[in-house]
Amino acid sequence: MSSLTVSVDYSNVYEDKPKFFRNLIKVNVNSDTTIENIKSTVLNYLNIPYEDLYYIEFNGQKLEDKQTVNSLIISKNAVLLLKCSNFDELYSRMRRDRRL
Amino acid sequence: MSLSVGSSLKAYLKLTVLFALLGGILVALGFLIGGVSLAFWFLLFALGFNFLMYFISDKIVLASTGAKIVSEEEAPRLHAIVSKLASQAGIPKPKVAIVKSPQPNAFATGRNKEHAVVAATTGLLNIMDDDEIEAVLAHEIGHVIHRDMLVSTVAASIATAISYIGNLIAWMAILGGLGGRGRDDSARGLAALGAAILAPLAATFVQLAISRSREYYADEASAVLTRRPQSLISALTKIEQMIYRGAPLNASPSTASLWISNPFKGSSLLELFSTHPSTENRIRRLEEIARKMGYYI
Repeated sequence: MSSLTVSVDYSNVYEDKPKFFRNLIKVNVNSDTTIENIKSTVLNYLNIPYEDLYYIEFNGQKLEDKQTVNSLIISKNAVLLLKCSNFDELYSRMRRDRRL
Repeated sequence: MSLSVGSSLKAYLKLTVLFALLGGILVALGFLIGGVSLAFWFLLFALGFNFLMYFISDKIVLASTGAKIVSEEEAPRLHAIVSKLASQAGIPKPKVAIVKSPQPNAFATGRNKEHAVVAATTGLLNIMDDDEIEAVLAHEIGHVIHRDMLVSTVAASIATAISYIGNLIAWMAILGGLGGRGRDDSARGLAALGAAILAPLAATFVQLAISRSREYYADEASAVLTRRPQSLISALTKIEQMIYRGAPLNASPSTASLWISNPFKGSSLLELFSTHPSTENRIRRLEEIARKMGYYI
């Protein structure tokens, strides 16, 4: 099973604004790593527990959590985007959990 | 070493020496261009410009960092920590702002205690525990207590005046207004040109040294205010790791000196050229403070 390193851009985890500088993290994956695994690795790194509010986008397409890396045509320099589906809900949960 | 939240005698002395150095460079350049009075006019102009900036700096900083002032309802945890620290430090509670960024960082701005703003990134709030956030914000409150906005404004004014004079000398040399026909005059002209190039550089180094020394004193204020220097050590370590692993913060690079840790730093940057001391040196000093407080580190 070959392993690969993919980059995940997490610049927009707190707001959906165009960024001049990108925040990237490299994640080691293999062919059966799921999108959910990648998402959870990055969110864990950022200490954001609201996984259901986030999804990963690749080449403009929203990926399903259960999809594996194998099902994607990912090159060495591929950048996956970590995005939030509902910022209002994110900030409301952060307030509820005394994170803000 | 005596520990205090306000500026200690040693801090004042160090600041005086650094300002004397800046003043010395300015006066020396003034002599080279034919009179201290001209240098005085440049200084007056630079002071006027920088003090105007000083009065509107908080608005400029908030705009260039993307920070938004938040209410107590919007950020109850952050407000509670800032309230506690302000009351411990005996200052009015600063305004509280949030920067929506994954990079953990924080800054303080505002021309005095009455107009202070303390800002933290969402990344900082999510990654740090309460003790670490308190330590970081106590560092920022330290800047407010020490009137570091005023200190940096005065330093920037003198450095600006020096660079104006440097530019003037360089233009005089280009247009042939320096030196004369004799060998002595030519040598004097060359010396003036050399000074015009080196003086602004030296002024920048002194200005950066002032910025670095203010960071150490703010760290000391944090240790004294929270009584937990270990929390700042842990917070600085986390911030450092995130900055090196991730990418820069989405703020103007001109705001680099404001943040608790330079959000744009590269690993090869020499400390002499940096607005902040290295995290390694800051941690070493904090460990010293911790030992002085009776902690075994």
